[in-house]
Parts: sequence; structure tokens; C-alpha cells
Amino acid sequence: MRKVLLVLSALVFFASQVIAQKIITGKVTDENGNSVPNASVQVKGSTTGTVARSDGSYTITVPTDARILVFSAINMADQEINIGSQAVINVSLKTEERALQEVVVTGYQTVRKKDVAAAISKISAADIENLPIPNLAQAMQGRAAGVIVAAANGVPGGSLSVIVRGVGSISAGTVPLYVVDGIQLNTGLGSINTQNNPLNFLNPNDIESIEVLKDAAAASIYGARAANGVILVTTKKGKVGKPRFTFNSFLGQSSPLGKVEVLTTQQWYKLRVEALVNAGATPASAASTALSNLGLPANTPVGKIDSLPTYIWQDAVFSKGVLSNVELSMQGGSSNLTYYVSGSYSKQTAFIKPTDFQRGALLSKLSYEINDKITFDNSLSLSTFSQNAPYSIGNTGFGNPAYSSSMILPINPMYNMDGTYYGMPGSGQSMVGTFNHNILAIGEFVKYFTRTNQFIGSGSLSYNIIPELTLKTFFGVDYRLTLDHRYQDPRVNDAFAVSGRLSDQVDWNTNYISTTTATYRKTFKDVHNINAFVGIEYRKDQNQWFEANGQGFPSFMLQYMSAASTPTNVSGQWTASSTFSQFAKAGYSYLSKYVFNYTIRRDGSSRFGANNKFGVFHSAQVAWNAKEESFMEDLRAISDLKLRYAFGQAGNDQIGNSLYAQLYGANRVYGNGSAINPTQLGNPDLTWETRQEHNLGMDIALFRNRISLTVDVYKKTNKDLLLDRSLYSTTGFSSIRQNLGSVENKGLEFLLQVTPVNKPFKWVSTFNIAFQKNEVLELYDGLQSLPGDASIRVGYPLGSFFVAQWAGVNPATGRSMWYDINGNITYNPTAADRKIIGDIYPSHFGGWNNTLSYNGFSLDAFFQYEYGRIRSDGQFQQMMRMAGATVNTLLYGYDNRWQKPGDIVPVPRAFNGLADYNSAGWGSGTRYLFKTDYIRLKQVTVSYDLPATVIKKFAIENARFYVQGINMWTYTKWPSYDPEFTGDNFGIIPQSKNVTVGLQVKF
Amino acid sequence: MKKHFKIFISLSLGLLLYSCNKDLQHPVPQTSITDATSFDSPDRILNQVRSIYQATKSGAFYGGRHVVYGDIRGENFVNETSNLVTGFDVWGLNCTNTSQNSVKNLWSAAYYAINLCNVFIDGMDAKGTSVVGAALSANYMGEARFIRALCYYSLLQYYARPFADGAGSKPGLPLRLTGIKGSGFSDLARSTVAEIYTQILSDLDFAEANLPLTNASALLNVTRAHRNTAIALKTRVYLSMQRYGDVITQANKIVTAGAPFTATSGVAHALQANIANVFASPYTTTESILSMPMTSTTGDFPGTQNQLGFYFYNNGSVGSSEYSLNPAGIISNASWTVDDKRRTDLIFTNASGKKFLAKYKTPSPYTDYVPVMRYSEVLLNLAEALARTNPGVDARALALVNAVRKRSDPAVTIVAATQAELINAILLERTIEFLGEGLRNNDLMRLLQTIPAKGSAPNKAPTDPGYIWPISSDELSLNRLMTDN
Repeated sequence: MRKVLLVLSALVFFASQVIAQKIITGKVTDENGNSVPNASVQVKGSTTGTVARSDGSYTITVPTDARILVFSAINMADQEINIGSQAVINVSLKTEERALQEVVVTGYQTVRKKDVAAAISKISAADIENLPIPNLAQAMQGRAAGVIVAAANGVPGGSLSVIVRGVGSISAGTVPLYVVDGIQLNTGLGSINTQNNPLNFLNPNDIESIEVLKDAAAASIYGARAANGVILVTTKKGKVGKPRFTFNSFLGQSSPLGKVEVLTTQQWYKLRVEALVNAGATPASAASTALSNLGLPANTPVGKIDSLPTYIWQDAVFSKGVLSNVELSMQGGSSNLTYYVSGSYSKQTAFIKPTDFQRGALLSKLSYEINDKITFDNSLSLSTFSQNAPYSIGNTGFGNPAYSSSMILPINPMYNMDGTYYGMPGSGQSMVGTFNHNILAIGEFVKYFTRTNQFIGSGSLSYNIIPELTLKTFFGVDYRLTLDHRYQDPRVNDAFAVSGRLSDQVDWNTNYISTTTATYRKTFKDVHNINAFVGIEYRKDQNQWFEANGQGFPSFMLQYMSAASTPTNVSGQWTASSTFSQFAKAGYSYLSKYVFNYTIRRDGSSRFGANNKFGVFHSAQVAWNAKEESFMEDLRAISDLKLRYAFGQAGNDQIGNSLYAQLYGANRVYGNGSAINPTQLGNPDLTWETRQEHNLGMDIALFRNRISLTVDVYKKTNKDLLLDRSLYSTTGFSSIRQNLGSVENKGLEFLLQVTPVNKPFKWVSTFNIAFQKNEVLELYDGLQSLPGDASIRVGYPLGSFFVAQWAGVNPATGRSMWYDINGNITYNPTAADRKIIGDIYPSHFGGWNNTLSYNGFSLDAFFQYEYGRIRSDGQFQQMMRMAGATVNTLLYGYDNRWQKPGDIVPVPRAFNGLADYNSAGWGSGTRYLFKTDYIRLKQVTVSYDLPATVIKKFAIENARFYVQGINMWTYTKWPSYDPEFTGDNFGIIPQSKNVTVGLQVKF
Repeated sequence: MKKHFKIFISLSLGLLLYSCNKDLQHPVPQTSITDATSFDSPDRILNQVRSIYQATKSGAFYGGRHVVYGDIRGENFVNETSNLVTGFDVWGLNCTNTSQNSVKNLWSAAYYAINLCNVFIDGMDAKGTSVVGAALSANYMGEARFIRALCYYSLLQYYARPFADGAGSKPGLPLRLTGIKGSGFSDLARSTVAEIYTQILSDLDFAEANLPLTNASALLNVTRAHRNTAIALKTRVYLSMQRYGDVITQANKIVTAGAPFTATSGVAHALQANIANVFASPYTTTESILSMPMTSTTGDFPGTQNQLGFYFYNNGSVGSSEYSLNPAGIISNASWTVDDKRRTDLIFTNASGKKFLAKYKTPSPYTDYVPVMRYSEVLLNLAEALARTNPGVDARALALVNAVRKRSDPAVTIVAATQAELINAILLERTIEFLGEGLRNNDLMRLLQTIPAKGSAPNKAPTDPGYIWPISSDELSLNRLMTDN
């Protein structure tokens, strides 16, 4: 094939040399007469072309038989001029009407927005420019209606969950399919450190657009991978013209959103005595116990207690982080070659040391028209990013500063007089209280490091057999190597006894994809528009890792495995999957009025059992561009009106690689002899989860697009959910994985954009809101709740809390009360008293963006909000132990606690051991469940573009200064650090407040 | 135009055809073996045999808890920790359908092993025999059926009424004889106790006929079944069925007519001069007919809170003193003299004066082999069968019980004036000899005896609820044909 192409191109080249030529000159201007630099001038249907000079003038040599010249420039509509006998051709290009010509990337092709009949959200480069975010998915937060993007915490480059139109699965994956420039990414984690994300590889400023295929109809062309939605990322590419450089850099600082107020040593002592007395101790023994808890002798006089110091650990641990980014890109091209090359380096450190993120990334894109029929495209993304991970996330580690800084007893100092860390193991000193690790020392000594090297590259060849028919073949690779190095320094508490501990892991992820499509696009008789393609695709994913662990390091200076005196264990694994697919689309539109699209995809996956190896997924979409009707022509107020309906199917294949198979594993030993045994029950019926969805939508624009509104309403059902069905033991197994049960999501999405003021002061306001309702429709065998998880119940949403309700504090006794199922007070709620109390997904959420611009100044303010979500505040719960254990507690609890009969307060009496007499645990039921509702000024940017008169002197095209703030203001009632997280909020690094200043120069 | 259409259509068809021809590449798992190839090589087959034993060795089963429960249901131990995880409910004879660590876990562990046996037997029939040849296949099948018999027998002792109650007519167990590898099995009701025993005996007869006479090493003679292992288990099974004549027939195959009593064919089983050696490394004396091997390799030891030493022993960091010896139990018996090796060597008194069993005392991860059957049991099974069959005082029975006693306490000679005295002496000897080896429950059950009270735990008459265990709640809720006790 390749040889044929080469011969073909050589022939074409040769032919062009022997034809007679003539010279044409002229000038390209815009509608106001200003010159348009860098416009492309090209002979239609050939590779002959040139680029206009900076004053808009051009000279081109064309063959005498050339008939038409095509003029094009950025943001301008293309114009075609008949050459005839003219030698001078001056052209005035019109600024492109965006709304009309806007294109949308859908699966495997780009189409006019007019021809789209499904639900697709688009985010453009301008929306997300210069955000200090390591992860491209974060760019969608609050900007795509119906897409919940939730960072697990504030760790830079940390984990993130993206849920498109509600969760539709119980035990299979819920991660959307990410497709970057045609390459389907593997989003499996490769790191044993808890905070890692494979989407960190791309510099968000290299993104041209992000399209979210939200409904099943839009996603259906991706078949068995599409049930969780599809996110198409298109990176920037070069445009014809002389080289254009963009330099961009910003620098800034991150700081904590807030701290929590905790007790002084004296307050804690008082509360501790109270807790002990409430639990039955005599005042004298309580005082002596409390003193010994503080490491003091029982005979310490009151005066001495009053003068004890209070050390504020949060102040010592929460410092400032640094944000920096520098990037340079170059793009341009001649008539047959365009390029875009961008290099960037960014670094972010969290406000709790040593957590950070650094990335160096290179993106290179090349498009070469070999001749007028054949185009070669190449894209290379090389990226390396490193992270110093937090020592631990969650409530497992006393060495986790985000967890313990508020709970270390305040009598513990951080440093000795000589500047060394206080209370280190082996020093003879020890910190008092449960939290007895010097977290500052751990931050300095412990090294949890993750390095990811990622290569994503593709090459493709397009062949225009005839102008209407294009054959394209594409090959892409997504290769990721993740290296973890977890060194617990021998000086810290957790590793002192074993003289240091090291765990090294290497994880290789190789994923390749090959796609071949034939696309046919043709307009017949000017009214029938056909857009059809067929394609085949093959994708293979392979993952391999190994891990080595050792301990016993002679010195903290020796931090690699060779120094470990005792290897503790090694492990490794391999897994792979492959999918082979055929797909097709038939699109027809009549006069752009009536649009019909039909897609079909057949996927065969190695993940499915023999009886269900192949899945077929259809979608059918219709749209009516009402504005195109003649009777609408006179309705000038309506500038656009479109109604759409789509139905589609998609599958979720994130069910694990060989769960259908009956396998024997080698994980047993008998008297030192190896053994293999059946490890899972075979299920040849095991297959994808199916999503079916109806989507009804409307797009309306009024008053020359000054107001535009998009509304979508959907109902989606996910069925054949992957569940472990419990088995009776006489089968020899405890469960079998089957496709059972179904879940429904219903929702309504609005996107409203208004431009109240246009010139010279301009204000554009974009608001989106999504309402969402999730419900489990069916489990199996008529079960009303899952045997293994009582919170998954028919008729209720996934992610629900199923607990007893807290009833506050008994004013007479100060004890915590709960409601039983009948609404009566109880101190010991049982399993039967549990009720569904809200769930972990917001019921309505979205964003509101405002851009105000005047004369080069612009102000961008972006709010995001979430309502109707409930979470358990683990951190708050731990900080509310009220001296019932030897940990520091919140001042809020101290100030609002019950002290005497008659006190009507929200906080029960302090009680040693936490659970009051004959009572449920202190954190039982809904006591620490809170709404996370918030409105947040997520991003505010003020920028100033230097006026043209000034920049001309420096021969630059554009220069912009900007100041940006992230998370500057939040409205919430969430009790601990921050409401924006996922999980149980135990000891996570919260979100931070970031301020950056930047400069962007184009030349 | 039509031409273009034709090109497009033919190209599309071409693509589709191309894709149909292309085989869907199927990544074969590299870290597991698929069902299709699991019987393809002698190595894989041998690994599956080991896996069957390994499943039997599970900490919830013969690796620990089954043995522990066999003793703590009886009267000779006192619970020290009131911990439900370590069998407080078993000891107190008040297990419920949802008792996780006893009722539920033993049930699933035993049936897990049974399924492995069934999967193996099916696989050998389908393919394995042609891979390893008929002779070796017969050996392996014998092992699988031996283990299946052992599992069913062990389950009967906890979850079904003793055979003596209605001659096996009471509900027994769901009898699964085909392997489950995938979906498509159906619910299964309980067979009667007698039907289960019939299957056990059929399996053991097969095993006797097909197992090798001896294995390749002393270690394998103790840890893998051979012909005498099957015969020895039959003596236990027949004793539980009170078919004493059959006990004698079977035992005579491996016990000589007179002292010193030994097995003269197959593995040369014999009593060891010092009983303590049986419980000491390397644990591979000819007295041990079957033991579960333990090593310090990960996965090859009993696991947390399953270890016999953890339950019964207490010396420094070894053992958790979950159960001490009941001062009013067998250790209070005066005829068991202080000089008996089983007192001097196998009982330990801690600092506070409590007595603990010292048969298992290697430190964590507790690598004492767990005895399943010892030759002394065969001797006492035979003795009891003889004593019960022959009126008066059977001389050989008396000689057998004295062989066991005098090995540990040469100064004492057991005497019996009547048949009843002889039987009682043998039963007493069993209690002493097998203390902490899990046989006490079997003995109480087969004779439908009242379980004596101990400490805070009351006695249980055979008619009392709790005399046998209830059925696992999981089984009851999911297997619709299952019935509770």
C-alpha cells in the first residue's frame, strides 16, 4: 500500500512540473479593510499555495489551468475566487459566524453542530486557558452540564472521579472512555501510592477542545466501552502560516482554605478531667489520669498547669505551596505541511509538605499533505511527571499530617531547643497522646515518590480516493511506565523497629489501537446531504507489574533496595484484554432541516464469556433545525431553533479481564509443595452491562445569538449489572459473577448563555445546571437489598447511606440519642432502625461563568456549585472525640458541649472511651453525616492585553498579563476543612486557595 | 456518481469481510491456568492433588479449627477469653445459624474441599487419566475419594444427628458428587445420614483398592494418603456407625494379632516408644497415619486464630491461652498417673498454675503438624470393637489398650473385670490419648452421650437443642431445598 502511495505521489509531483504557470498578486483584508496577515492562498484541488505577508499582500505562481483560488485565515470564512484572466486578486474575508459554522467532534469524525442530534457538551480552549490544573478532566468541572467531576482531595495531580449523567453500575467501573486524538486511553492506575492519575500526562493548554458524549446515542459509536460516557480530547494543531510562537508562564502560591480551631493544653486538660468524671472516675483520679495523659506527674500543681505551653501543629504543618508553569509552543505551516509543537514544564507543591507534582511535557503534531489525495498525520505526546505522594491518606496513619495535625495533643512541641525534631523514636523522648508521631519529621524524612513516563503517539494516513470518499487508517499507542519508590525512613515511628522499610514497584501499561475507516460525504442536488462511514478497530491492553519489598537499612542515607538487609516479599502480575470492533454510521440531512443519524457498532471482547462474546449497539437520532424552515425566516427574534431526539445503546466492559473464565490459580502450598486450584467459577454468559437511553433536546438562540439555551432531558437505564451473586457453600464457592439487576438515571440539563452587553463593554454569562435522580430498579431473586451491602436497595439511589438517625443530645443527661424505626428515642439503634438518609451524589449541580471585557481588560469569574450531596465527615468525627481519648478536639465541641442538666446544645457530654453508658458508638448513625452543599468562586481571572500600538513596537502579536485566583470564596456549611472531596474525608489534604500571576506573549 | 457509490459500497463490504476473517485475538491469562488446560500435564494434575489436601488443611478445617472444635465441645477444656472468634459459642454449645467462625466457616471449608475433589475426579475421567496413565490416575483418584470421604465424615459429626440416632435415618448432608466449575448447578436437598455413610464407605473402599501401598518418603507417608490411611479411616467410620464387626475386619488388615501391634503390609505403622516424638519435628513417625503438614512458607501455616498451639498452649509469646485444661476434666482422673508421659511431656503448667496442653508448642506461625489419624487410634478402635463384640473381657482388646497405656506409663497395667469395665477403660484411654486431637466430639456423638458440663457451660443431653450444630444461614437462605437441624 505504502509503495503504491509513494509512486502515486511521485507521479503527481512530476506532472505538476511540466505544466505552464502564471503569477497572481493581491491583498487580503477583512471586512473593515484591515490587512489579514498569514492568510492562506491556495489553488483549489491542488497543493499549490502560499501565505500572505504581514501586510496581507501575497504573490502566488499558479498553473495556467488553475481555475479557483481559496483564501482562508483563522476565524475567517473561507472564500473561493474564480481566477479567470485576473492577475491581481484582492479579497475581503468575512469574520466567521461561529454559531452557524461551529463544528463538534463526535466519534471518529467532526461534524457541523447543525447535524448533531445527540447530547454533546463542548469545552473550548478559551474556557480552560491557563488554569493551574495538572489533569485534563479537572477542566470539565462545572463546565459540562450533567458531568460530575470530583477531585478526591487537594493533592496536585491526585485522583479524580468523573461521572457522566449519574452512576449506572454497582460493581463494574464507572470511568468514562477518554479518547485523545483518536487514541482510547487506558485509565487503570499503575501506582501503589494512593494519589496518581493517568490523565496527568497532557498540558491542558495544549487542548483545543473537549467534547463530552453524554447520552448513549452519542457514545454508542464506541460500543461496549461507552456506557459511562465518552470524553473526546482534541489537541491543538498547526494552521497554515508563518511560525507563530506562544510563550506562557505563570507563577503563584497555594495556601490552605482554612484551619480548624482546637483546644489549648489547659482547655484539653479541663475537658479530659470532665470526660473521665462523666465516665465514673473520681475527680482526684480523673485529674491524675489527665495529667499522666499529658506526661505530667500526678502532683503537678494547678499553677503549673496554667502555665503549660500550647503548640499549634496545624500552623507548623500547613505552609504555602508553589505553583509554576512555563510553556512555549510553535505552530505554523505551508500549504501542505502544518505543525504544532509545544513544550511545557509545570510544578505544583501542596501546602502540606512534601506533596507535589511536576510535569515536563512535549506535544508534537504534524500534518503533511503528500499530495491532494493523501495526507499523513502524526502526533507524539511525551510526558514525564513525578509526584511526592502524601505519607498516607485516610485514618490509617498517625504520620499523616492532614489527619493528625489537629489532633496531636497541644502540649507536644515540634522541636527541641537545638532545632532537632521532638519525640523521635530512640531519642528517649516520646510524644504524649494517641497521635505520637512527629509529622514534621515524617514530612521531611519519608519518601513516597511516583514517577510516570508516558508516551502517547499516533500516525495516520488519509486517502481521498474521490473527493467524497476518504479512507483513513490510524495506529496509536498509549504506553505508560509508573515507578513507585516508597521509603519509610528508619528514623520515623512506623519504621524504627525494622530499621526502615522500602517498597519498589514498576508497572507497565501498554495499550495499542488501530482504526481504519472509510467516510463518504456528499451533497446531492444541493439538498440531500449524506455523511456515512464504516470502520474496523482493534485494541489491545496489557498490564504488567512487579513489586519488591525490603527492610533493615543500615542508615537513612541508603534508600535503595540494595541496602535492605531483609527482603520481605516480591510479587508480580500480568493481565491483558483485547477488543475487535466493526462500526458504521449513516447520516442524512435534508436541506439541513431534517437530520437523521444511525450508528451501529459490534464489539467482540476477550472480557466476555463464550456465549456473549459479541455485542451489538445501535443508536438512532433525529433532529429538526426549525430555523431553516421558510416560515421561520421572518421570526427575526429567533436566530436558531433545533429540536432533537435520540435513542442509543452502549455497553460497560469494565468488568475485569477474565472474570467469565474458569481459572486455576497457583496461590496455594501444601507442605511446601505448590498447588493449583479453581479460583473462580466460570460463567460463559458473563458480558457487558447495557445502557439504554432516551434523550430529548432543544437548542434555541434568540436576538442574534445574544441568548442561547440548550435543554436536554434524559432517561437512561443500565441493566445486566455485574453483581456477585451469593452462593451456598455446598457449591464450593461463595459467589458467582453474573449480569443481574438494573439502575435508572433521569435528568434534566440546562445550558444558558447570554450576552447582556456587547460593545464596547462586553459581558458574556454562561450558566449551567443539571438535575439528576438515580434509582436502583432491580436486584436479583426479588431481593430488596444486596446481601453484602444493605445500602444498595431497590427504589433508592446508589451511594445511599442506610443508617439510624441521630436525635441530638438529651438535655437532661447530655447523652447522644438516636431514633428507632418508629421515631422513638433510643440509645442503642439496631440494624432494624436504619433508614435511607440521602446519598453521595449531588441532586443538582453546575457552574456559572461570567466574562466581562473592555478595551483589553477582561474579568473572568467562574462559580461552581453542588447541592443535595451527603457525606460522612470522618475528619470532623475524629476531631470531635471530646477528650474521650487522648487526642485534641475542636473548640466548637468544647464551646457547645453539654455540661449540666438543662443545657440545650448540639454536642453530647464528654465521655472517656467515647461511647456513653449503654449507648451506641459515638459516631453512629447520621451523627457525622452532613450536606456538602457549596457554591464556590472556583476561578477568577483578571487579564490585560497590551494595546496594539504598544505591542507593534516589540514586533509581537499579542501580550497578556493576568492574575488568577482559584477557590477564592466558598459558601458552605460543611464542618471540617472543605466540602470538595470524595470518600469519607479522613485525613485528606484539602483543596487549597491558589493565586497566580502570568504572562502570555504571542509572536 | 453511481461509480463512486459502487466504490464506496465495495470498500465497505471489503472492510467488513476483512474484519470477519480476522480472528479475535484472545489474550491467554499468564497468571492463571484455564479450565481447558488444567489437566494437560502431569505437573498440573499433581498440583491439583496437593490443592485438595491444601483445602482440607484450611485453618477453618483440619488445619486447626475443626480439631479445636472437636475438643472444646467436650468437657476437658475451659474457655479463658469469652471470645466468639475463638469458639466461645462452640465451647458453650450455643452456636447459631449465623455463627461465622464455626457453623458457617467449617461448612464452607469442607464443601470447598469436597468440590475440589469432585472437580478433580471429573477432570481425571475426562482427560487426566490419559495424561498420567491408568496406574497413577488410580492412585490420585483414590486420594481424591479418600479426602472426599474424610470431609463428609467430618461434616456429619457436627451438622447431623449421630448414626446411632435412628440408624442413620435422620437428615444428613447435601451429597455433591460432581464438580462445580461454572453456573448451571441446582439446589440440593439433604440425603440421610445413612446415605452419606454409604457414600463415604464406597469412597474409602475405592481408595483402599487404588491407593499406593506406600508413598515415596516418610513425609509423604504422613501427609498423603496410602492404602493403610483409607483402612484406618474406615475403622473410625465403622466405629461411628457402631458396626463393630466391620471395625475388626478393617483393623485386622493393619494390626497384627499380638503385641507388638504393627501394620505388616503397606506403611509399617507402629506405636512410637515416646509419644512426645510424634508431636515433635519432623512429625513423620510411622505412628502418624495422616497429618496436615505446616511450614513457615506463607500460606503453608494455619493462619491467625486457627493454630492449635494458639488455642491450647500458653508459654510466653507462644500460645494465647484461649483454652486451659479443665481441672475437673480428664486431668482430674486419678488413674492417669502423674508419671504418665502424656502428663509429664504433653501438659504444661503456667506461672499462675493453670494447665495447658503442650502437644503443639512451636512459636508463630505455629508450624506443628496437625494430626488427623494416629496408629494408636486404630488400636483403640479395634480394642473397643473387640470389647463390644465379644462378651466378657476380650484379651486382645485388653492387650491393645495396655499397649497404648504402657507406652506412656509402663508402671500401670489396665485391668478390667467385666465387659463394661473394659469398654470404659478403653473410652478413658481414648480421652487421655487424644486430648487436643479433635476426637472427643466424635466419641460423644457416636455413643449418643450427654455432653458434660464444664465451667459456665451446661451439659447437653442428646435431646437438647444445641447437641449438634445448626445449619449455616447462608446455605439455608440460598439453597432452597436445604433444611435446618
